[in-house]
Amino acid sequence: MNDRLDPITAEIIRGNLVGITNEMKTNLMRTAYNQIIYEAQDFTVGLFDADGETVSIGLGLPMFVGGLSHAVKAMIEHFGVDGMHPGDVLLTNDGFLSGSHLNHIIVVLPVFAGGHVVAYSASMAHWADVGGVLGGTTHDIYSEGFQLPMVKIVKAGVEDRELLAIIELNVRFSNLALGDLRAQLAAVRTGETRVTELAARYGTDVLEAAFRAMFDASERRARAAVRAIPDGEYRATAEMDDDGVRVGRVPIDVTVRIDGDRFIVDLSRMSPQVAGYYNSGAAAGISAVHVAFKALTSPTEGPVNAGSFRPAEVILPPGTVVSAERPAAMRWWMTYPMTLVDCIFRALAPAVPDLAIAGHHADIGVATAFGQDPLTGQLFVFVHAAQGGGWGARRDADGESATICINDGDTHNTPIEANEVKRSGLLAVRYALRPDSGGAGERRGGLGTTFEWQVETDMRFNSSVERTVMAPWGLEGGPRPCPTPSGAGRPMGGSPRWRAARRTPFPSPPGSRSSSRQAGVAASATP
Amino acid sequence: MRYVGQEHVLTLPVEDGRIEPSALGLAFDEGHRARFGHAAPGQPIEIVSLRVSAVRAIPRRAPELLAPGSGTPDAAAQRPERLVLFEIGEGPRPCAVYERAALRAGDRIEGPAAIEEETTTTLLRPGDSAVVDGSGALLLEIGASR
Repeated sequence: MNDRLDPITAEIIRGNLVGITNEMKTNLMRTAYNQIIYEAQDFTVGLFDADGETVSIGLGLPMFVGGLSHAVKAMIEHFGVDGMHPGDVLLTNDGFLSGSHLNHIIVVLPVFAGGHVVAYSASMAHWADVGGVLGGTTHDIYSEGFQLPMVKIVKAGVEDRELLAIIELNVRFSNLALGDLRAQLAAVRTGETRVTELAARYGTDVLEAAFRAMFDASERRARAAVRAIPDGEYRATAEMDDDGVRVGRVPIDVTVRIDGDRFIVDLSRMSPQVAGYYNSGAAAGISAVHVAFKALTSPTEGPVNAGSFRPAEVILPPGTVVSAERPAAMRWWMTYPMTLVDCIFRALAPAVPDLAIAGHHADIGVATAFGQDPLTGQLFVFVHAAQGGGWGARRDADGESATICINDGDTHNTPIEANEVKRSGLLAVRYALRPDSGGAGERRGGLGTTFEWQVETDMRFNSSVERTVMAPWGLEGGPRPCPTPSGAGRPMGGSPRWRAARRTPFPSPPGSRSSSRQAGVAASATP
Repeated sequence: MRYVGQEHVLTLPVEDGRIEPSALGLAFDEGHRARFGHAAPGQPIEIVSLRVSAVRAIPRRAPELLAPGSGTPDAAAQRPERLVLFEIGEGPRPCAVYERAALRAGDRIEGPAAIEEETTTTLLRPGDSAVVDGSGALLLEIGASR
């Protein structure tokens, strides 16, 4: 430790950093214009050190645990630390940087203290619309909306009006887009103010020493946890239903090698990038490993910081479905990495049976609907998310029912009342557990859910629920549950007729009902 | 108040007297900047709710008091006895049951007894006792005669 950094100061600074990212999160939610941010919490805020390493991250979305750090490092390389000035704010939505879809707008603010950058304050938030085709599937990134490379949206305190005008012209709801951008600025400026106060109170050298001490402490704990896993090579595979465009399964293939305190995940046997929109970038592939690694080694330690992940090494050649390259389509980036997380647990189940968990529904459970609002006559785009599903059982417990998927952590489902108030053409009919949808076994899998909307205007409906063909799995001999019967559209009063609604937007005439379902999952039947 | 399109609101104090819309708008921008670190001057603003607090003196009211009873609960306050298990290993024993709403001031109850009301049950173990005071409160003495 630094001469001037005693353990008590280090601990006070650590507590402060958690508090700062919580405040950034609150300010983003309180000032946002778009429901996906203030209700569903599809965003991430964070503080990063001068090298772009994660110091503390406030997660709505664990799947984004690496995306922000990746983008901050790219910004540092692109602009150079000499190219950044007090009052600058950087922005990008490059999907191949964030690893995710173009709706994720990343805003980064370099925090200056004592004449140099001591930290970066950053936020990612999911904008309601970034242009691109409405509904259906996409075949390349260019059909998914506008792309902004790394730019300075604010230069030395002055907003770039030309860039704002370009954004304004390329999105369907410019009032939401610009409002959400202001909310992101509020969040990163909150981080800036608080970090500046910390630096003034303790000095930048103490602050930076505290970051390093925190990384080292987290690394020690994580390495100790890895040493407790028996050495060996463990492999698990699974298959995704299809890629949204072509018929045929998509292989997920994960090898985990434990070597002392090293946790090496080899993803080189993952499917090559696919024709449909289920690709994600390398930041997402690495983040998926980090999600599983954190859950296995130090799930409750905060703040989430770069030190925790040092023992995790990822072998990930370019061009796989979780390290896709331009011009891969990425709109549904989030689905496959969740099965990757499940496969890491599945691979390690023989080594750490008490920590392992059977497969879960592994999808956000998104349905989208768009059409004309009968009251206002305006276009509306409704994103139904996130919907809970069944989680896998563990040796000591049944699986959770109706719970949001692992990569979406703190993401919430939007209250029914909030959705109905904002969209006059939709009425929620029911949100129910699906009886017997979990796998059987000594420990049962959790139950999936059914959500049913009544449609009161002409609209088109898409449901992109995964595992409609390939069910999740049990452990230790537990049977698989039934796959998810996803579907849409039945005439009111008629007999149920569910139809797959993954690819083509399914027209929903007024008076019909649309439904989105989530899988129940298998149990681990312990002998 | 909030910018049109936002969900969450910021509550601002307003002084007595006539409200100038432009001054209120400036106060909102400033409040938003102070609270969230950012403001959007020129964006349309809406008032979502108005809060008024008013203070005036009202005459003090005498507290409502229960009518005094005889010192033991009326027959009207008694419900049928029931068996209650107090100690594991011992058998259940008969326990008097009272309806709290029918008790009167000064009534005294010795345990074992259960005093029932719509939202809860007060259980007196053997040796405990309760006295109803003028406000209707139960003053318990735990283990008084144990």
